[in-house]
Amino acid sequence: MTGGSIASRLPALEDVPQWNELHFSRMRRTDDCSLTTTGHLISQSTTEIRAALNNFDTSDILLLDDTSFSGNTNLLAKKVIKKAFPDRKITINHGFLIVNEGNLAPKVPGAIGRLGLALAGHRMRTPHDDGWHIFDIVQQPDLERHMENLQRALHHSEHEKALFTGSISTDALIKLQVEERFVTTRKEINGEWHIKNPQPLPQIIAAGHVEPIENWPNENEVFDTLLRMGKIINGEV
Amino acid sequence: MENQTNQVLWMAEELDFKLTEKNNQSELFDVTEHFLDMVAARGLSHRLYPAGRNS
Repeated sequence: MTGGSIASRLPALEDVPQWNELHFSRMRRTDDCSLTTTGHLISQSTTEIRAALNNFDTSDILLLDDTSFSGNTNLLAKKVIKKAFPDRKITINHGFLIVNEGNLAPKVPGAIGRLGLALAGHRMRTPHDDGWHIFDIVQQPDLERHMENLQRALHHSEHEKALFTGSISTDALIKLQVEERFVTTRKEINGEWHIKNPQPLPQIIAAGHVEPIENWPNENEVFDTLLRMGKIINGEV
Repeated sequence: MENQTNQVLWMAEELDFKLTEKNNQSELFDVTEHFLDMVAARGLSHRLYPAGRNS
């Protein structure tokens, strides 16, 4: 579910048929400072999955993804694949670069507890460990203005709408849900506005993993560095 | 602020999997590590996973 970037590095899978079109993007609420997950955008509808895999042996499938904290994405993938082929017996296996073998809350298991077995390069354990995709900080549109807004928002310990340009409404999510482009395990979608891969720094600071920005002695250097990261990633330098 | 987290994983798989063929990958590693050093204040434990030099 990484567009083939993992499978292509594993010689053992060289002769195994691969399908790299299925991926999920986590949607988060942008009107809630904890950026709680709303659900997932899905790249393929059930009909498209059936059409793409119809001529393949789907009895044993290995789902590969970079990270699994809760196991949710893989459980959703399993659900949509089985929905696409209700007439087939399919065994789903899981492989990750990093997998969470801890709990999300007391008596609430993380990925390993929910998926059972999984192959993984690294293992982590919540709540003892925590993690974010570092490039979500700088892979944002109009990065220069974004960083200015981020700096201002973090100083005032509040979120600014300017940080989440590109948010979509709950009504838009429901429309995507009807088209099978959005899936959620929630009974109803909470919140008014949602976005995929939002700027995570407010959440990281709120979680206490990074000091509030007013305590940073080198604030401007930090933001200059983030801008440089963004320019390199976007091929602008 | 109390920090009970053992380690914060800054998952930078993109470094390895998305940018391998970019000429400026080396600078990206350096800049990313510089960022992590700057924000790693007051006992924050961090690791750059899975491909970074810290891992």
